Amino acid sequence: MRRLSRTFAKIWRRLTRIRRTRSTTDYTSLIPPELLADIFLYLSPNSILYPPKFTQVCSRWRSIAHSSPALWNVLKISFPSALKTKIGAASFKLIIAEWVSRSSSLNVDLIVHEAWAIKGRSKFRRALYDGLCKSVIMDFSTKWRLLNLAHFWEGHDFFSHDLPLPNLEELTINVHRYNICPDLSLTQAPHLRKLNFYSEHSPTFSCLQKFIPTTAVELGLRGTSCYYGVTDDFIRGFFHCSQLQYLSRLEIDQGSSWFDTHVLPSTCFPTLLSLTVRGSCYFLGDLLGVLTLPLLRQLFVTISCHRRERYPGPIVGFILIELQKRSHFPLSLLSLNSVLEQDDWPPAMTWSDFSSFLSTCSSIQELRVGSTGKENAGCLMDILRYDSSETILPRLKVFSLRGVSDFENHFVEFIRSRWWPENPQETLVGAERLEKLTFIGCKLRRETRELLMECYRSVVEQYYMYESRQDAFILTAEIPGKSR
Amino acid sequence: MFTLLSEDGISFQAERDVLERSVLLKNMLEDVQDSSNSIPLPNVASAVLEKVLHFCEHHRGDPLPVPEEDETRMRKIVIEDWDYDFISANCDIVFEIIMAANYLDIKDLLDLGCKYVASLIKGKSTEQIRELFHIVNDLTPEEEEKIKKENQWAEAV
Repeated sequence: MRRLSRTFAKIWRRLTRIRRTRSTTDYTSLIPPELLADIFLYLSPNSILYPPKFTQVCSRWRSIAHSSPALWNVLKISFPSALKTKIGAASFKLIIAEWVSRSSSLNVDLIVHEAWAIKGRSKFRRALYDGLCKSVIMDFSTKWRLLNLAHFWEGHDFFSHDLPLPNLEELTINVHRYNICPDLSLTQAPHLRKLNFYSEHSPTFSCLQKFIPTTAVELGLRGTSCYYGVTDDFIRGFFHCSQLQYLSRLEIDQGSSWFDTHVLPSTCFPTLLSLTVRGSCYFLGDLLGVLTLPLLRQLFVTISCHRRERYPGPIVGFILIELQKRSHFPLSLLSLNSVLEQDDWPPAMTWSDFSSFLSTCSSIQELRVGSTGKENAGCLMDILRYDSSETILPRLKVFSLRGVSDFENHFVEFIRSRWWPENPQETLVGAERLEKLTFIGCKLRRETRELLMECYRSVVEQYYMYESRQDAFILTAEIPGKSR
Repeated sequence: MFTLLSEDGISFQAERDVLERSVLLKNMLEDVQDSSNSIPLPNVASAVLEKVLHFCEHHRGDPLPVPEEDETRMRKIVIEDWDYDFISANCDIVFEIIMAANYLDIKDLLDLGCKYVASLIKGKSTEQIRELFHIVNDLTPEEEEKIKKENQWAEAV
């Protein structure tokens, strides 16, 4: 049998040589392996369920791809519908192990998805998949640079094994089932810098307190639900956590169910550079009302849910002005999402407060305003239009707007006030030129488009689905190489 | 003006700022005082050199591309309009352009060539890729067997 197999292999090789000489030129044979590997890097595989086609074309391509570690340093594991038996699980694990070994000395980002596909069908198959994922995480624990287990909560008990994770820099885990304190520890992850807790309900902070290592400088508390979120007890505990004093980035997007005023302790985050908050007006008011952030550079504020019966008034503008008075932060990026929205009831921030806040933040270089299409473009542009007598946002270079439509000439006047040609006869004194503009889901007039084409060297328009509207698009106008 | 001499003996003239898009030529020009001497490029044919100079001419004055923050991470295929028109008009010599860009060390042209070839491969079946580049399927039976095992877990795209 072996002899037969060797003879068959010989014949195969000879046949291949004959085919080669007869065929027309293989253009790619000119390309050295390192360049072919560079091309493959644009087609990097990442899911174990979709093996890349370029590894199955010919021996040379396969060999080059398999010996290029950079192609194998991201791995997404999802439940394969063919997984039905223990033998199958062992064979699937071998495929995963080969993928990891091809990454050679590079560390790997691992994303594990929950077995949605078999939800409620087979406990056995779910257990097979969970066991398989858990053993992969544990067997190759020294390889992981990033672990994203947001939907894979069944496997979290491996943390109680005090797993060595010497290269782990970023961890995302689901925490909402941990209201009874598990014995979690991350003592063997000395380089863990980014930690994201994914939750639908508020966890108990005492459960998480010892889980946050002092090495963490970026912390996120995320979820998708609009109706559940963190509690005031959680935030109180969170603010008292000594590890947070070293944070440079904090994201809390779980303030949606906060529909009353709560008293929170005054807290200073002395090293925080970036803050992202998403929640109700009450939540934003309570949270931002007690913080002092002396080094803040980036602030992202999103109102998540409007409920008429629980509306505290336009408090967000006032709170932001007070926050700046306390902190004196050198803000360079401000993003306001749904904050300025005006429906048939008062907004979270008045135009007057918006203008006052911007006038105290002259360091802002990038401004993002997002809405759901109900904003008043005229009021917005009246404030943002540059006027040398009221020098608002003199350093603004990048501006993006979402869901705001202009039916008059406001956008044109705004652009004209903040843009001038390369070598102008006259330039604005004390103002930066607007280098990049992005309109997302905004209806633009013909005059605005013409002006953008005239002013900017690169104007790119891409269609996309925006809140179920078919006609939505992203238009980006920029001077290449100038904007950040 | 400087003169470049292609592999097949054709000379091309270009200004310093055009040639300095190439790191190799930039380094060579630092040592060249007399622009009357031509610079031989034994690895680049005239048909390819002409295209390379066209690209450099168009991008003269643009900021030089900065290296990726992490070269080992997946890259995105984004090609600007002019670049796409340029490379697709020269698709018959795209591999020669890639090699010339590699030899002359012109990062943006090399990236463009690689992106274009990647975009040709993207979404195609193995058989379509073989047909496109005239590649012979020389996979051994062992490799075929291994591929079969990998595909056993694959989900339909």
